[in-house]
Amino acid sequence: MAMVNLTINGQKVSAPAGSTVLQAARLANIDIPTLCDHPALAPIGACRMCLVEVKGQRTLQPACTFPIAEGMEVQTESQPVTDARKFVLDLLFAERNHYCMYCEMSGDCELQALGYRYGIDHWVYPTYTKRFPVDASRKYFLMDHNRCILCRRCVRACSELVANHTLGVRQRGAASMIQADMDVPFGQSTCVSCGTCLQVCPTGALVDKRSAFMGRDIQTQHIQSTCAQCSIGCGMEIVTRDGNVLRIEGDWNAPVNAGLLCQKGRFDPLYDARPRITKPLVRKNGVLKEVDWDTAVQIVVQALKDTNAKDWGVLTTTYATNEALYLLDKLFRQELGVTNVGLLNDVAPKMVEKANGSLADVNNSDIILLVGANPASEQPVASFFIKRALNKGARLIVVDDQENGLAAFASMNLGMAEVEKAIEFAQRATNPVVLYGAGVTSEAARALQKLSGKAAFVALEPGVNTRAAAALGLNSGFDPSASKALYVLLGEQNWNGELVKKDAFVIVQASYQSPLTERADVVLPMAIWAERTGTVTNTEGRIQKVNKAVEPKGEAKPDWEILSLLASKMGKKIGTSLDEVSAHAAQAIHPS
Amino acid sequence: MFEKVLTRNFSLPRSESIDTYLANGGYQALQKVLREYTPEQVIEMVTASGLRGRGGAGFPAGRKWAFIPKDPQIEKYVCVNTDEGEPGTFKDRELVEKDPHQVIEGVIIASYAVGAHRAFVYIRGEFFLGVKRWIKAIDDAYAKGFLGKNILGSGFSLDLSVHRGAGAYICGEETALIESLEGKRGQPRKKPPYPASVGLWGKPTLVHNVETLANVPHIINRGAEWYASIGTPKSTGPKIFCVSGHVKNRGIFELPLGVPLREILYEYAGGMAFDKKLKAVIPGGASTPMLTPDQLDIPMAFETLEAAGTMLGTGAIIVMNEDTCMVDVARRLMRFFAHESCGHCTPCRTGTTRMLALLEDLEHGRGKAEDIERLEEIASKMRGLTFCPMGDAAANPILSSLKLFRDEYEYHVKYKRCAVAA
Amino acid sequence: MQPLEAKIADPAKRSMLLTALYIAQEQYGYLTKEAIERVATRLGLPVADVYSMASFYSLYRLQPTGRYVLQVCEGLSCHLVGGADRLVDYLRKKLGIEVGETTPDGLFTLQTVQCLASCGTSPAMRVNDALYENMTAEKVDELLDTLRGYHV
Repeated sequence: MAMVNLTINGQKVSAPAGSTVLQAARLANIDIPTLCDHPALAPIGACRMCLVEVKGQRTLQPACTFPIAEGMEVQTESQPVTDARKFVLDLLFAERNHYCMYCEMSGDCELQALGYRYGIDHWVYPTYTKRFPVDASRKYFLMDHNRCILCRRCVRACSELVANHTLGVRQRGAASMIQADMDVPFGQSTCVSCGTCLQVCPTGALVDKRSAFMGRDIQTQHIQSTCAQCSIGCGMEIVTRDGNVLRIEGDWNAPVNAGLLCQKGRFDPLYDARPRITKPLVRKNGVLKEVDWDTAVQIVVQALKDTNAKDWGVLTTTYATNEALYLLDKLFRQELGVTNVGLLNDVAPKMVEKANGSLADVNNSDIILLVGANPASEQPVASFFIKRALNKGARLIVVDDQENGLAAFASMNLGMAEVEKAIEFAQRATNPVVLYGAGVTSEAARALQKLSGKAAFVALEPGVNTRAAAALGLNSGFDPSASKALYVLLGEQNWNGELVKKDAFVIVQASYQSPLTERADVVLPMAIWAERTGTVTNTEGRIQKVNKAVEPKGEAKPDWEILSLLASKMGKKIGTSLDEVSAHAAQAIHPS
Repeated sequence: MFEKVLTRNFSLPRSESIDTYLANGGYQALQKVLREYTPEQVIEMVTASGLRGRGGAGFPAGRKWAFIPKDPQIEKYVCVNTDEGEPGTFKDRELVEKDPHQVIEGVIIASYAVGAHRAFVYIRGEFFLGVKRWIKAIDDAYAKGFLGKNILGSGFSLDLSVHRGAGAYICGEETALIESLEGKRGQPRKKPPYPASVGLWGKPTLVHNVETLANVPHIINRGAEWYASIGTPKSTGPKIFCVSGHVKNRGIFELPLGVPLREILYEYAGGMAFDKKLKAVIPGGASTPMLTPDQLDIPMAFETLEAAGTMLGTGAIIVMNEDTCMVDVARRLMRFFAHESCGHCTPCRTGTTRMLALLEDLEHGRGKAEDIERLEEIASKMRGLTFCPMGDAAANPILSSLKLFRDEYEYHVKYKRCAVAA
Repeated sequence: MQPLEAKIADPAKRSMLLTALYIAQEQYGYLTKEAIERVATRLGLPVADVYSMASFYSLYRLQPTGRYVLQVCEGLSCHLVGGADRLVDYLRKKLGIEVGETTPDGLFTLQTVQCLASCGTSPAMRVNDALYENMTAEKVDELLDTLRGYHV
């Protein structure tokens, strides 16, 4: 990579050829204020905050778009530059109604921060008396047009990052307004509530409803973790204050999603209104009663000793950590010899010996085959990646017998039996990618082998930690209605337990009340996603850390800890420290 | 009497038809070019002629053609800018309605010179008659073999199509025009890269004003030397001046560049209407600073007007008499710029509306003394900060009218009404 | 084997957008939500983009208008010779409506527009796609009478 040498404020700076002045300045830790710029978005040079002096240029140039050249001389703090910045800020503050005193963003607002920096303490130019609308029709966040500076980060995020294209700018000049679809209330639009626009907005224009006014950045903690709502495993930050979860943000530095999240990951977990199980429960005289952990564990251990291994059934959700799944396997299958172990969701078939593709391959592909999977509703972030590739000229072929959310974007929609047609196109492609889910029939799977070595295969596993569960062999697919006793690692999943034998002895490890817990004989309270540390394996086989952000509610314990407790009470030494268990789990899962 | 070049066919019956054009020596230049000249030679001729863009910027045409990469493997395009929208300007409309073939011939020669095989006319959506004339002229040109495959057996092919704009002045800016052709909002693109490297659909593109292209057949027919002998050494060739406002004869007048403003006003435009006194003249369209009666001897050329602190622009002369309120003029022009601002950058979108609000207050007797200072502040600070030159264009009338007629602004503040009969 | 057609983001289809909107506007009378949706689907473009485009350009009508849209040029050159404000005022009084409004009989909508490049033949105005130049009060009266005459 050729390097270019320039000077910024007299300081020698070296940056890769093709960089902008802004990128070069950042490399040298020279600060240039910006508003419409965002590291994840293509620069547009609209706000004019980043104007700098470039020797030889007649006018000030925007650093975010101006390309560097050998020997260039740049001044970022000269009088003309600071005058220009102050002028742009004066105009911005005059354009709409920026009343910091009662804005929830006050203290974290990029516009306000620049205002303070450049000594804006009154409106210089006559302000609008016009009131701009507030759109609160979306469930999770609202748009206050009074605070919008038309930086268009939201529009760019919606089209460049999420490729959903819900947002646009209507009209022109000072009449420009951010609009959704055909200027409908956001709550009635094609918005998928991924919240990316919310995360990139520099001012208080886009505001998360639930966490509004609940704390400034300096008052909150940001804990890095991995989303555990689907198998993509997006990197996220859990924002907490005084032991309460305020909101979830996408981690811009995460390798899988680079900051993107979807409604399932960003909002749904915080709006879960199901009652929590906070204490161990045991059925006495037909009624569930609260007991302490020792009592509950004793009853479970007794049941494990009393009932024959062949009469046991073990079911697990995949909304569980690697550690929990590993311990479940170790305790029940290996130590106790239980063979009936199954998953509460489907698994995608194994397509190739060594899975050779990653989600990043979607971005570089020219033909994408989507076979037996519906990421538009199950793994939305994967559907964002697909649509981004389509925006760049890739073509999509959907092969599915069910209704598929991406059908409208596909150049071809085929039934599973017609998969050969899709394979023909993929064979002629340069970088074909096959994204496949649990809906692939065995015939189709066999046919797709033709593309082995040519296409990148990426599974879109249903559930969450399905990859780990499958690797551990936990999907034997037995019939739970035959089991006399059932151990169900239900976790956060909802299940009505319809297949459970009427008089079976049921032990449930769960976080929320559900028909199954109501029917169970023993309920062990389990910590939820924000309350436990461990690891999960995403659909690519990538092992990522999930971190505890708040204390478990009541007496709930992390999923793996419950199993470890049971094991030690039974005298089985299968790991008590998290690090130990994580290491063993990683080895056992052998991600390919 | 100056021998008309560009407008020579205008008064002929059915001047727009191909028959009239052919009967008066039309398409001879094209045949000459295809038979006798290489593309490089054509570029040389145009460069030697000194032809400068007639759309406002005045950039040397030949130099612009030379920027287009010569590699025949690279696809390139030519765009004809018929998005005339600068207040005071109406010459392109006349050219298109009265002699479209002259422009077509220019387009074909230019395309041949730069190696383009597709050319696009971008015309204001409001020019309904213009669109019809363009389409008819292009159809006729195809029929006679001047457009299409293997033109006149030369091996050179060119397709020309017409695309209506939809009501945005900013689409007259070349990169905004390209955006609009691509089906997007007319927002200017950042330069660099220039359209000659990255233009329509990412390919090198030559964008030219209608009048500029109309000159090309004449340069070929009569030679670069003849062309350069008209006008001044730095501003060569004939120019279609538009005169509007308070003169007896409004209209277009074709004269050599460098003709004194006084001559245009008094000999051709008949002098002031109703024998009123002259107050100010806008020399080159709404974005150009004003001239005062003592500057009438100025030659109307690029370099002379630039030296006087204004611009030739499109050569659209707006004449204002003693009864004109200059605050009202500034307000009207600011209404135009605020309405046409694309809204992409802060200073233009916000600056124009702020200035308009101040001007409305001043005009309607609500203005305060500091409003004049604010107005001047915004206009002067805005210059050079905007994404595209329209910001400068919007600031010019304000700065110019404040410099020359500040007393009128102050009168508005003091007496809450116009100093002159509006 | 035919290449796969792009369902979305095809630059060739995108460049048809301005023309497509004109055609839709003619067919529907103005750009209704349905019209915009149809254009978006046909060209494989997001509705937000199509709406954004339609609202950027002033010749696209997103609201219903009268049978005849009277657009008076309010450019400087027209104003200097008695057009613009004076012409608009005359029409306001004659039709009894404000700028942006439509007469109750649904015949006329009054609008102001920017420079129509008729500065030498000002005052100028458009009636739908037709250009009327050198307008005077008498000519306005004549024009309105003629247009009304078509709808007796």
